[in-house]
Amino acid sequence: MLKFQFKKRLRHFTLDISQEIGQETLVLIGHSGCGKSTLLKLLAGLLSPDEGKVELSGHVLCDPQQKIDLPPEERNIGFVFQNYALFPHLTVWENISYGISKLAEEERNKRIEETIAFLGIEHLIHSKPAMLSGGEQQRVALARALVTQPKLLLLDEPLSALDVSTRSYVRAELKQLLKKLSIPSIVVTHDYEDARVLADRVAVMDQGKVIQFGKPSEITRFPANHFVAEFTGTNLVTLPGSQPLSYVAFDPWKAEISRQSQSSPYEWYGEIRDMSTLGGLVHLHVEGESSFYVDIPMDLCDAEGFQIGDKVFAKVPSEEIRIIPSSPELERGRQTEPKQKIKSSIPKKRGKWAYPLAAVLMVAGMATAYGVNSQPVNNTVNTEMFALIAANATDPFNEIAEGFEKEHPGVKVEGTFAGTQVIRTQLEQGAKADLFLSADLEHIEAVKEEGLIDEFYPVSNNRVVIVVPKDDRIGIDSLEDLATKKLKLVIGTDTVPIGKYTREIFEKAQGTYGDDFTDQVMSHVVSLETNVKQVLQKVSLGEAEAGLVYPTDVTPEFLKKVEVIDIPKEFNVVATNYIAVPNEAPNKELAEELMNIMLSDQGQEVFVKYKYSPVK
Amino acid sequence: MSKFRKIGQFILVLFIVVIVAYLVLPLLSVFITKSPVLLWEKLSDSLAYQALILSVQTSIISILFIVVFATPLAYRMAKTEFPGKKVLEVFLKMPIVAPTAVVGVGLLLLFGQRGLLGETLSVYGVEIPFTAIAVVMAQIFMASPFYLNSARQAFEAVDDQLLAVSRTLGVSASMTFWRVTIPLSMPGLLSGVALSWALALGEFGVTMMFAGNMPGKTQTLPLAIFTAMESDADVAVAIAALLLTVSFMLLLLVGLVDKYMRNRIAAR
Repeated sequence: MLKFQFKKRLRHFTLDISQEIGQETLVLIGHSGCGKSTLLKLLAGLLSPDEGKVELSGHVLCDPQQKIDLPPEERNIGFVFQNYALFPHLTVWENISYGISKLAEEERNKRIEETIAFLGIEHLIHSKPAMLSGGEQQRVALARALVTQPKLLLLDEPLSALDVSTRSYVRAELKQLLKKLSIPSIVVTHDYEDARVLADRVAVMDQGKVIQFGKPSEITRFPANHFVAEFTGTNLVTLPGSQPLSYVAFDPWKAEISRQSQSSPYEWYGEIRDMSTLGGLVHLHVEGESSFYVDIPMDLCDAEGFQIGDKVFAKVPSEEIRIIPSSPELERGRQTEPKQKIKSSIPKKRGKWAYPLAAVLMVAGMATAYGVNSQPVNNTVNTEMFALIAANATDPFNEIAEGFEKEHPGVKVEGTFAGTQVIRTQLEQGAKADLFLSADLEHIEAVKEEGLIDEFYPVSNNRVVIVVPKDDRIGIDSLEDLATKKLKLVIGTDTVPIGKYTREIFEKAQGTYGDDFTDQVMSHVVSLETNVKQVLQKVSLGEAEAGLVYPTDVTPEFLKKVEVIDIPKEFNVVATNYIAVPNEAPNKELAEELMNIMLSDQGQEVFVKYKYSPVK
Repeated sequence: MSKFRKIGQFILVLFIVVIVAYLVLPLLSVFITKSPVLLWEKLSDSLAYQALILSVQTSIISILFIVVFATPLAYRMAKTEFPGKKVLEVFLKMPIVAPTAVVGVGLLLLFGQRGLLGETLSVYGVEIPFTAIAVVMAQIFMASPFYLNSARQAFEAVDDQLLAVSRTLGVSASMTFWRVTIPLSMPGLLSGVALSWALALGEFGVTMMFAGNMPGKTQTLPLAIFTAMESDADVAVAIAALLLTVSFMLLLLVGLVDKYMRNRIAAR
């Protein structure tokens, strides 16, 4: 015994339904989107109603007033989904035992064996769902639900996933099964044939409401409105000349068609709109004042030569006419909902396209505008020079190159600025460079040995300083403090020039500060950076409390955040940059000119400006 | 007509060959331009071993954290609607597009000695920058979006009806997660793990910024490559070959596991 009553607001209408069924099969029929599947989910507890109450076999499953809303797993309701929803990773046996895994093994096996025998699927138990036919899947899904011994069985479109050839067979089978089960069951479908075969009771639903409820035969004979008539395949028409309009129903195969009026009170006139053949019958759609269907034997149709467009009279014997009592429901015609939907969706669709389109146009417009603006103003460049420069010399090199470009119209100097090892590799891999500036004697000597350059010259001298954050919390004043105070120190790794110089300085200071000076300092190192900028970055962010860098890298921007502490001359090193024109330089003469400018007093001044010391 | 079609097909095949060659050759060249014997020698007399151990240790810890913390989020993102979901989606993709240096600075600003949280932490003696913890944090930050994405897609692909039917069979929501969702999304979850693991192994920029570069402490394989690049390019190539081999094995392993699991789900 199931009793339920729901109210739930859906997108286009409100579902409002209440029903009571015993140990019988109720078929809910309606178009897709009428709320019938929602109703099943409400019953199963997969959705919550706005208002409502469910009582099953004397237990209250859901009642907001009593604050009861059992979750699906506590409702004991079997649910078979449209596509059966078998677990694809489990075998048929595992699928069926899924819901009763808590039972003792003996009991579990007994139940499963009973159920598979009942459904005749013993031969499938080791298969995976993907191997089963639609009908087999349905039986497995039913077995899985029934093995939990549910008090109510819900079936959502149980036959729509099957092809036409197996559908009627499976339908008949399902009918037998539902008859044998002694529990209430609810089947949802949009096919009246399902309702006719399976149902003890039928409820026709439209827009969330039941518009007719009864035995299948009652509904076919006395459709409550056009909507129901359409579903059941019955004609529901107005009586010609009746005032007020009265409605009658008749079956399509009970009408006779002729070209002449036979002056009967139950006669309708209209034009043949459509013809289709069904077995030995021709199915005619006739439209006049009323729209209706007539089935006539094919021989008769051939003999009379009916064509689409012919005007005909349809007469129905008076004993086949069923008078439909008038009701407000009667006036509700075909669904108007879909039309409204289409109308409202058109502007939306336009809007949907308009925004991305506008955005694309805007971006495209901006890109074009920018592209136009960024056209090179000066397209007289005919010589491009290319230099490989150790990163520390970036700023002075750029300034000198800029002056050089001014003096030589049509010449453009491009540079790559990176660690010495990187630019050395580029040169070795055949980069067509006009200049090579190394921060390391070892590297430039290696390049010379490989025959890539002939001569190289010192171009600038550098030294090493200590940097500490502006708000130096440790209180670092000298090189010695790096060993004696507890701090986090970052230095260059021993493979880059700054790292080598740093270690050289520690070695030199060891004589003055004591033998374990280097060990002490190195124990404070928390990170070995691969370039000076990384060291500076970490000090300026305050992560490291001290670092060793070239003063040339401490730009005014960094000076806002760090303080520079000098290292005494006797411990410091002379870090020299060397420059050379490669043998394969594409613009050798220009390159040599540029190199000479850098080596000249004028060039040296620029280096001094960036805190280098000149090469004497 | 057929002549045009042939030309068209030729052009398409050409495009495909070019892009495949372009994507494969640079990585392949790491192995073929230098003799394997030389690479092996360079590996044994460098810090590569230390870096490999550190990389494997930190990336395993990272991936564990990612799986534990990102899986619930991925599930929520896949299966529920909530206000602000779209905005959250965009934020969660930011780590993929953000420059690594920015992420590194961001982590420092938050967890650094003077950072918003770091200052509080340092009161309790917890210091994150320049430690292996920072390496793990950098890896988690950069690698989790990829796991999140894969996991989310894997969860989305699990049919809601299967979850609903499980509930009607008397199995609670949390048990349904373990018995249905996890087995069905496992291939997707695994490929997410592999992808983000490989990314964690290769993480460079943020580690460099946030954790520093200290052999045996914070120097992972990519940092070792970068450091070696400054001195001996051959060592760099050798370590790169090692890193690529480890990543390749990882992706291959997961590819095989994935195939095996899909076969188990789909068929006989």
